[in-house]
Amino acid sequence: MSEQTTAAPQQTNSEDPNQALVNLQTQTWSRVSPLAIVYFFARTLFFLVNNVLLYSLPALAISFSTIKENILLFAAGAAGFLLLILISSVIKYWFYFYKFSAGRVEIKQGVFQKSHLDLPFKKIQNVKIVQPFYYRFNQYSFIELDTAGSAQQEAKIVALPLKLAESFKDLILQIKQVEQSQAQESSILESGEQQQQTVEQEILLNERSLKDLVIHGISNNRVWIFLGFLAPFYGSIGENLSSFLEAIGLDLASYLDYQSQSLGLFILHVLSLVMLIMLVIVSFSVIGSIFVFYGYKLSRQGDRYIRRSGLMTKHEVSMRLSRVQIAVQQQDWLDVIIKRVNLRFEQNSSLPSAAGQAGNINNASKLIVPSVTPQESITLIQDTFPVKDFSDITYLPISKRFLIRFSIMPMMPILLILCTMGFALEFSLLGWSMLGLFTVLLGAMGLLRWKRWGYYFGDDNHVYIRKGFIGVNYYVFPIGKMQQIKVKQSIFMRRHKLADISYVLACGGYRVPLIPVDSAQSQADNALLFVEKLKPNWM
Amino acid sequence: MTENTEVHNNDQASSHDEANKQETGLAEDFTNKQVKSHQIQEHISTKTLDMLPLAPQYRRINIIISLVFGGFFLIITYLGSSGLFFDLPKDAFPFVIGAYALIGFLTLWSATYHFFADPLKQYALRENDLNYQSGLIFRSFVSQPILRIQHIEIKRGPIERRAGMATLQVFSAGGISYTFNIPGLIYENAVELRQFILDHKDLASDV
Repeated sequence: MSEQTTAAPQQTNSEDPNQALVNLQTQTWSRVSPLAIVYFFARTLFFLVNNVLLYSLPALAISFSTIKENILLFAAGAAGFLLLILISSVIKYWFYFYKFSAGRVEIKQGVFQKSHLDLPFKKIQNVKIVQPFYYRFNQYSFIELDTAGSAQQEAKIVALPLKLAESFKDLILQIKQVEQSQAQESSILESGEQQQQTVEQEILLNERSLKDLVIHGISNNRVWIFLGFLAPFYGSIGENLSSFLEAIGLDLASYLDYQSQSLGLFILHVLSLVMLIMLVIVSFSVIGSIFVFYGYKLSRQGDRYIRRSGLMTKHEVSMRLSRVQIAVQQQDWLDVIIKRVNLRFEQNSSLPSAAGQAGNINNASKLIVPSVTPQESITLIQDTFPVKDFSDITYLPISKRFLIRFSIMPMMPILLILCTMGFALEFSLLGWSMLGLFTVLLGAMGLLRWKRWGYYFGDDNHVYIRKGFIGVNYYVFPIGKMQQIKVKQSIFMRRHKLADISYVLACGGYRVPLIPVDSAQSQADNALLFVEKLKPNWM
Repeated sequence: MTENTEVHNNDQASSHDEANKQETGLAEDFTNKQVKSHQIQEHISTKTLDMLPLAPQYRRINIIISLVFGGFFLIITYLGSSGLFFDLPKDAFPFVIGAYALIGFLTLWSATYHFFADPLKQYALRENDLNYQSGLIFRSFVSQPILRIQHIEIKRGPIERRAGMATLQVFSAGGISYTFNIPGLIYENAVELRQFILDHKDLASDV
């Protein structure tokens, strides 16, 4: 498995990749290079240092004197430990096999827990050749094979000669290129010259003015963006804050001295301080919103959305139209009052480009349009998916039994804990009445949740979900983006002919609870039929 | 696969097919019959699928594992409270009894659960999707279109190898928490399932 196979794909570089594929095939299982032992050893060691040693350092420091006395014993222990890791690495190497066969990569590994992985070449999105420092001396590398599945699921072949790894990468890229050119050819045939013209033009879809961003800052908490920006200066801010307060003549200690002032004045002081803090937070949030979304422009170029914004750092996020999995129109309670919504398009959350930035507002897997009007929002959504206006849809409510489920699941444990606390701490009448009020509020939340939760399956190609508490969120996605579908029913639900349905998309799962079981099952059947027969593209 | 082509040439429309035809007519010219140990059964709705059981030894082994684990913890508790290694405080007796009771209860619970829940774990392969049902109190039915599969893995722990069983895992772009997982398959069946999926024409398409 060295010279012959590495040379083969290079000869056939310009030929049919299928031929090259045949050349790269090995019918038998191959072991990787024994250098894999170094890889396994290093990986285990890094893991132990990161996860165990760092946490046990304090313990080691405390027993330092004991260690010093028995240095020989300690060294022997450490050496024995390293030897154990080495032995396990050798065993891991011994049981590690790979095979390139009939259009797929196979990897067999494991000593006790054995696994056998099959990865078709065509599902490989990206081949990454990694050369850690301990492989640099001898032209070895390991390859990571990314699929469209989660980033943690990628397959790794741990020690291959660099040449072989590179020719394998070339082969995969070739397969991809041939496929792309075939796809392009067919699409050009379909649309003729039209396509070439539209590709160049960039159409501006939406712009956000400074006023919009101020509104966004007030209604959405973007404080953390600003706080994140300030992070390097936290230390000096803390030092200077008290002297700053003194300089403007505010002595916090006497201002909030409970004993020297009347209760009314004290409450007034606390309230005004809270208001002041709120004001600061809101203005920080507005600043944060402007930081991220300044000069916001959403445009479309051919089949691609491009979002540009940013005050200091300009961010550009682009997303292929075909990769959009779901459109989410989100409206929090403040948004309800000022009649604005946040729109979000999500794509595959496990793409390599999106990994490692979860929660980041500039995350490439999400395209956010901040604080648009509902009208603008639906126009943008309809630009992506041919869907109905949300206000034209009569959503079906989920079963009232949701209230029973809500009172059992989140409500009962919370109240149980609070009541136990109440008995243990011997609550006063005021305490118990507060608890009563809290229970009523919780119940009201459940009622609102139930009222908001609705679904609409009337469209043959799209699923519409509405949910929320005080605010309302609308979700709409094409059935064709479905990856997996699940119908769930408890024995209690069976009696009432109800079921939960969950659609799994590449950007997460979306559930509608407690709908008629017939509706759930036929919906699942339809979705499967749609995906399996029409084979719609999801990427 | 030969079965595959046979199925597509089979034009007999079953009563189930009729029942599931929609207004859109999407179900016309499409079959998704069940593939059951190389015999094709005619089904199209997930409602009427004939679910296949897991390996017959799966439940027995799970119960044995529960009992062995329970016994192991009981022995540890016994040794710990015997005073052989360290002296327990005098008033620890109720706690020791509590520990025995808890371990006994959990062991019995786990064994009883497996006794009733394991036979409910069933799967079915159709021409175009894999289906798996599980759960005693909450019964879930998951369907995984073969078209959307990214890669496949067969996993076997030492006990599974001993018992001739395997776990089949199928990964889609839905992410790691939505991995389609069938435990306790007879090893040969798992390999057969994998081969069916790998030979499926949809797996080669990039959608």
